[in-house]
Amino acid sequence: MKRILLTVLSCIACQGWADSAVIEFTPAEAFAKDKPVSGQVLGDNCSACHGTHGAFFNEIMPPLAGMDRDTFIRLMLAFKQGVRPTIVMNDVAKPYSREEIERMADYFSNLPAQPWSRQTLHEEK
Amino acid sequence: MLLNRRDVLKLFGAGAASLALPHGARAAAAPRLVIVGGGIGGAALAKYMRILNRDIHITVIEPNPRFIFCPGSNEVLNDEVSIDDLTVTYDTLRHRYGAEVIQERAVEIDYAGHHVLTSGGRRVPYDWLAVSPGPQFIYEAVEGYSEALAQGDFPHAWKAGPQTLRLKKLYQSMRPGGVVVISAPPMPYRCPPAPYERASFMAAWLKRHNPTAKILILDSKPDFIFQANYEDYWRDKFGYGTDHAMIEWVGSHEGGTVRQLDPAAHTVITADGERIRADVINIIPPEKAGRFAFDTGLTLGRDWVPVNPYDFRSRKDPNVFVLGDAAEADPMVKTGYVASNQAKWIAQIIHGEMTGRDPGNPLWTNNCVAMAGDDYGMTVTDTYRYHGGKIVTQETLIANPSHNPHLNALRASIARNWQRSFRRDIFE
Ligand SMILES: Cc1cc2nc3c(=O)[nH]c(=O)nc-3n(C[C@H](O)[C@H](O)[C@H](O)COP(=O)(O)OP(=O)(O)OC[C@H]3O[C@@H](n4cnc5c(N)ncnc54)[C@H](O)[C@@H]3O)c2cc1C
Ligand code: HEC
Repeated sequence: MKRILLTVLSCIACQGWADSAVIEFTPAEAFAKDKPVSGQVLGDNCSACHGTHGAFFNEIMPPLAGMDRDTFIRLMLAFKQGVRPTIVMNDVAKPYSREEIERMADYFSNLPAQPWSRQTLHEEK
Repeated sequence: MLLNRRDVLKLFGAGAASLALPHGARAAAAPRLVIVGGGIGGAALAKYMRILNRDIHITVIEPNPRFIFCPGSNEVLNDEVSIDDLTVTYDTLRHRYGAEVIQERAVEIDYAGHHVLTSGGRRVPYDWLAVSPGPQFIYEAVEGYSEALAQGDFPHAWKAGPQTLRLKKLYQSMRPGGVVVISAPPMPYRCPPAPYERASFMAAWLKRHNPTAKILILDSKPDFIFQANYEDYWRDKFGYGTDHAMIEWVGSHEGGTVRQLDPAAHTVITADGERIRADVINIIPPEKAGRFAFDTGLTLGRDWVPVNPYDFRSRKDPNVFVLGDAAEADPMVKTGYVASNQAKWIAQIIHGEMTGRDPGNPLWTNNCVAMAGDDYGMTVTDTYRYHGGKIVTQETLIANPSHNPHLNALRASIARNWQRSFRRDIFE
């Protein structure tokens, strides 16, 4: 609790942009030996804000479906490293490894850039 | 009732028609997933299961024809949001995701025969059963309180619906200078910041309409999440910490725990024996897993359902998954956000079992956004991983309080947007 209070006080003093108190943080490298999980499992954690399959297209949170792979990686790394200030994405991007970000980039860049409500599920082959 | 193609077109537009009743979903030999509870966990599982697999037969058992979201229900108290905004039907689950929705209560599990029994006397067969019944309230923890009182003049409003509207009516029609008592429960309970969000929204309304009124939060905990943010906002807006404070907070270390309710005297009695009379009393009782989990033996003598931390299979029976608030999934918090991400993962597990693919080591997030007012939001970012045989917290970051009005307003708009996009992610 003391640690939280200190960060809080220093922030009020600086009056800066969005920043957060670190209550707990372990870098992604500590989990490098665990079995990897797909870009879909990682990326589906983003849907509450960015929409199902990152594809709402009409909310404040930008769509991710169909996003250019390299742009996605560049942005996520910039968020993670804190070099690009945001409201929430610095905190959101922080726990992922580079490989995980690349897997999410593969996932999102291959999804159709079309509103979720208009997508067809399981199209007849 | 199944809609024909023309009805579906009318309801959802041309694009939706081709989604209705996915091909193969009704094939006789398709494996069967049955879901008890069409709340956040149950509905998210039905949707995300269908996204992964077009053939599995999905049945949702849920007694209510509509679901009312709790996220956003504190804003109903402040006239910002209506109950209608928070209400969804099961039409999309039925017609877009091809789930069968049985509008009955599940009453029993025949574990050996792989059937769920319903209040209407049906025997519903399953290959996998997933149970997401939410919590039940432990009224007995506050002597004198009861479900009947909660449905009358002492609403807890911890399940959005008629009680939310009742609580709104009670505090908005209070005499000038009246007192609201909110009794906040001990952990664990659904949505830890929500009692303080509630107090803040009530205070915003009272400041405009009943400026000498008071809100007294009596807490069964010594501290709470986002405490620095809320106290900062309360100091700024409601004179917190001064003699004229509209909001006061008394932690358990100062005797805040409410032990008893004397409904006739409109009085609560705290752990120290102090009697506090109030015009409106909002007791949020402690919680445990929903009744269905107890009736079916899933709780194994505990308050919440013990589950395997990797895949949320219950300890009682590996073919029965338990998710959402009812599951004992420490260190995860009990939020809708977490329930929906557990659901997506269980869909992966079932799909993996059907296709023989190992989905790997999961990661789940809880990126919750809360508000203190329409001009002040805050975020918490929890990331959990399955590691070393258990669920561990990789990250918890909490937004620092800020006096930058631009930032605070942006955080609030993200919170408001989240409520809508979250509902859509579960039900659209
Ligand atoms: C005021 C308030 C604000 C909140 N705000 C947020 C927020 O901002 N963000 C967030 O992430 N979470 C929030 N929550 C928490 C969130 O609502 C819950 O964590 C979430 O609903 C849990 O999902 P669940 O599936 O476990 O239970 P629920 O969503 O409660 O669903 C349970 C369903 O099971 C059904 N059911 C019960 N028993 C049976 C039975 N025997 N047979 C068939 N069906 C049954 C019920 O009818 C219900 O529909 C808030 C909660 C409250 C009270
Ligand atoms: C709490 C809501 C929330 C969650 C959860 C969330 N995001 Fe974001 N995201 C935002 C917001 C808001 C922005 C705009 C930048 C900002 O201010 O943070 C954004 C921006 C982005 C952008 C930049 C898009 C662009 O075109 O500029 C990317 C990429 C992104 N998010 C990826 C993700 C991924 C991947 C996840 C899941 C791991 C995720 N987000 C989870 C809210 C969220």
